[in-house]
Formats: sequence, C-alpha cells, structure tokens
Amino acid sequence: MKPWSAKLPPLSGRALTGIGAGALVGSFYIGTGDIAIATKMGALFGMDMWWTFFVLGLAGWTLMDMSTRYYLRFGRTPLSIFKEVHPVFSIYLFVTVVVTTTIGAYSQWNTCAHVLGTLNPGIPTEVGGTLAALAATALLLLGVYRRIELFFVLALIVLIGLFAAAAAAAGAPWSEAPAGLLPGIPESSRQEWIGLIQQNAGSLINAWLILIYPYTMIEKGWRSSKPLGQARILQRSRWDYGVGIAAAGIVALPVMAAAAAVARPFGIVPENGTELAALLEPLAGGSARLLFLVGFFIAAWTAGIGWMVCGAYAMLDLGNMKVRMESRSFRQAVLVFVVASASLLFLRINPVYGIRIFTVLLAVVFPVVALVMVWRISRPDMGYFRWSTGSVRGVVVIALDVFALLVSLFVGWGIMSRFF
Amino acid sequence: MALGILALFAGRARAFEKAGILDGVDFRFICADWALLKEKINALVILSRPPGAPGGKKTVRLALDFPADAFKAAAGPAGMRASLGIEPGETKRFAFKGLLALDKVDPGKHPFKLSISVGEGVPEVSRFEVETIRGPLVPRGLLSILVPALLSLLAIPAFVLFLRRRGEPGGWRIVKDAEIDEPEEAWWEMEEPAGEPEGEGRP
Repeated sequence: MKPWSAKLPPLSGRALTGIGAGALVGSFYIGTGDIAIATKMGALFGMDMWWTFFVLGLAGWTLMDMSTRYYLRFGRTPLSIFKEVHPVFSIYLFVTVVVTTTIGAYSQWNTCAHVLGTLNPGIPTEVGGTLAALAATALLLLGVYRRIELFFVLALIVLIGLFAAAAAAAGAPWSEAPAGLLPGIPESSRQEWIGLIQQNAGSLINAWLILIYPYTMIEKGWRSSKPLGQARILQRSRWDYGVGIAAAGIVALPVMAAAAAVARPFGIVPENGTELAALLEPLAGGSARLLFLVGFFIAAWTAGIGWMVCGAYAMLDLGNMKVRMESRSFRQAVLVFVVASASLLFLRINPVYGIRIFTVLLAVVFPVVALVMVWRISRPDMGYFRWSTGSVRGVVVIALDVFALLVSLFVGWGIMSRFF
Repeated sequence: MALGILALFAGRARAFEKAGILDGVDFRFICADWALLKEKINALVILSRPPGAPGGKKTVRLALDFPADAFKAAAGPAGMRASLGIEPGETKRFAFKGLLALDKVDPGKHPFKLSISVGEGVPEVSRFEVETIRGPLVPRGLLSILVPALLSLLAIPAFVLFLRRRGEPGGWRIVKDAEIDEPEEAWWEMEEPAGEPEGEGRP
C-alpha cells in the first residue's frame, strides 16, 4: 500500500464527539504555565498574541503525531524511539522525566496552595499544596484508566465554562479576539512578546510530554497490524489530541480577555492568576473572582495529575513494564512522584514565577526530543507512514514534521543563547 | 474532590476596599491586605466623574504612604505620589505598582495610608493594614528553578531502585513491543471500504 494513500471516510459523529485521551493531553497543556502566560499576554497585549497558542500548538500536535505514527507502525512504546537511536538517550530521558515531572507536579500543587491562600491566607502553602497532591494521588490510586479519561473530559468542559463566565463578568473585549488569530507582532513598544512566545512554546510543545498519547492507546488496545486500520486509528487520534491541544488556546482566550479587561487599563501585569483573580473581585464582582479561582485550581490540579500520569507511564516504559494505570508499578511510581513533588512545597516559591522559568527550561529539552523523533520517523522502514512526496498528504506530513523540528530548534536555541 | 477542598477553605477575598465621593469625583481604592515576603502587591485607584458634572477638569492628587522598613516601591518613594486630571464623564484607572514586601522584617502587620484630594481641598485619608506572610526560601531569578531542579535529583535513587525492582533487567536499553490487551471494540476493523487493497504489516 502506498504511503498516505488510504481514502478514509470522514470521522463519524461518535468519533468527533468522543474525545477521550485528548482531554488528558489537554490537562497538562492547560496548567499554571498556560494560565500564567495567557494572563501576562492579556495584560500586556490584549488578545494580539492569541495566535501563538495555535501556531505553537501545531508544532506540539505534529510532535505528538510522530510518536503516534511510530507506535502504530511498530507497536512499540514511545521511549523505544530513543532506545533505538542510542541507550544514552534512555539515561537522558530518565533524568529529564524525573526532574521535570517532580517540578511540573510541584508547580501545580503550589498553585493549588496559592489559590487556597488567596481564599484564606491562613492556610500555609505546604498544607494546601499537600492536600491537593493527596487528593490527586487518591484519584489515581483508586481510579481506572477509563474513568480517569472521563474525569478529564468533564474537567476540561468545566474549566472552559468557568473561565469564560469569569471573563464575561469582567466585561471582556471579545470583539478583539478574531484579530488575535492573525499571526503578527503586537503593536506595542514592549518587547516582552519574544520571551512570551518562548515561554508559550515551552508550555505548548511540552518537552517529552508529547510522547504520552501512545500510552493511552495501549491502555485502550488501539492497535492494528493492517495499514488501513493504522490509518483509521491515526485519523481518529489526530482529532482527539488536536482537540486537547486546541483546548489550551480556547482556555487561554477568556484568561487573556479577563486580563485585558481588568489589568491592562491599570498598566499592571499580574504576577499570577491569583492576582488576576484579586483584580477581578472589585472590578467584576466576587462571583467572577470565585469562578476564576475555581477554574485556576482545577486547571492546576488536573495538570498536576497529568504530570504524574505522564511521569509514571514513562517510568514503566523505561523499565519495559506493562503500561497499565491499574498496575502496582504505576501506583508505586505515582507515590514516589507525589512525595518528591510535595516536598518541594517547603520552598514556597511563587508558583507562577517558577513555572515561567520552568517552561523556558523545558524548551531546552525539546530540541533533543524533536531531533531524535524526526530522525526516526523519516527512516524508510516506517511503512504506510513513511515520508513520501508521492502525494499531497505525504508532502504536508513532511512539511509539518520539518516545521515542528524548526520551531523546536529555534525556540531551544533562542533560550539557550540567552542563558549562555 | 477539588471543589470539595475549595469549599472547605473558601472565604471572602482579603483586600482593602473603600469607595466614596470627594468634591464631585467618585473614587474607589483597592489594595491587597496581605503579601508574601519577597513578593509584590499593587494598590489600585479608580476615579470617575458623571457626564455633565460642573467644574470642568479637576486635578486629583493621590498619595500612598507605607513603612519603608517593611516595603519598597519599585519607583522609589516619589513613585507613591500621583496627580491626575479628570474631565466630566471620564473614568481613570491608576495603580501604585510593585510594592515589594521586604524579607528583612519578620512577618507582621504594617500600617498603610492612602490619601486623595481634589484641587486644593482637604485630603481624605484611608488607613489600612497589610499583613506579611512568610515567603519563598530562595530569591527570585535562576535560583528559583535551579534549587527545585537540584532537589528533584534526589528522587533519582528512588526511581533507580524502582526500575531495578519492578522493571526488566536492562530494560532501559532493550527495545521491545508493547504488551497490548484486546480492545473492547476494534472499531477500526469495521466497515471496510470496498476496493481497499490488503495491507502489509506485522501480525
């Protein structure tokens, strides 16, 4: 069968509405980093930078697509790509997974604690964050994959609704939104937009987290040995994680809109979402503030769960263990991550400030991930999914893969050149 | 679960707020009344005049006084004074920005004073307290990510042990097919379109 030649029928209504693992993907795309970056963008530039969520999201989507194609072609887990290239990448990813999952989850518990602290300053960061971490752990230890997936779908819908309601109460300038979809440099003398794009890339390309989708396919048994079946699974999966990534942009809109409505007129750049919520109260009412804070809490909490899920899956993969959420190994990995991440709460770092630097540092990881992945999926043994210029679809796939690689290299290089 | 935690702790937002009218100018002050040490807060002022109000343009003077041993303004003490002109029908928003809570003073309550006067009139003074709460252990900047990153390296031995006990020996460098259970529903194998060629692939 020629590469990319299958004529597939359009997705059924059931497939279009049956978002599953995409919501899990969305959970770690919509966390403290996403909200903090959207808040800063809204306060500085209104909605002029909304487009970055979709352009950078396309790069993230393509990288996720590469790991899915590899899994569908060979039936192997995503980290096998790195083991195949050289075992030294396994060590690199092991350290990266441990460090980033621990800090990533910690940042989310820290944000949960700050939200609770905004509602009641008497709650110490360590207590609020640990409570959030323990609640997340209970959900993962007691849950099974299917129910967790459903939980994330519901959380995503609630999140979008809460932020949209808060922004509407604040009198958000919605009419400016369509113009924000057109890529361009904001009309402002402020130069922060370059750094914001890099931070957003760190948040949306998400380093090694773009490898997670195949784990959810293994959980559900989505695998075919026939190219046509593989093409069908890929078609549905693309829609699924596409929606998950696009959700980050959708959630960002009301956050940017709220910041544009309440912070921009004062020339204030809120340092965090809780500060934005505090601004909302006197200007948009207590209900707007509460809606925003609940949304922020859920975003951070589900992102914390997302980090732990991703980290535990990666650990199972590294040890060639069976990828199962209900396994004892998965639960043990989750427990180690929750202890490690909750311990960092004693540092009391401003979570949003920390996450901004963290997303920048993530950008140092993804050029390596992107290079290895593009090298692997461009090999001729990729079967139906191999690079081919024999059809329009094949050319588009190559173009997108190269685009994702270039974005990864550009952002990674840009950030590293700042540090060194 | 998340909503339960929120419901358990939710109280009213803590912020100092005051609204009033001074010489035909509506004013509203909003300032957080707590701050983490080493973090910044802002004091907001909203001024407005109804359309057609008499008196033409009015000059409003604002001043924010705070204990200099506990807080530091980014723009220096002079930055805590402002003068704004406001026309009838106009709304102006202003913020005293970036008040940094200094960590050389222990957590406690500190007196603030916000004054507003219109023209040469008598100022209206609002007093409130800002409570400082223990802040981060490390300063802002690169250390705030390097310290967590270094500490998170401590989890590596735990995961090495985990992989040795639960994982396949040498699994970190062995490429293996994933163990995949039968799906509940192999939807991709249904409704084969006519004329599609049989494919290659592994069993």
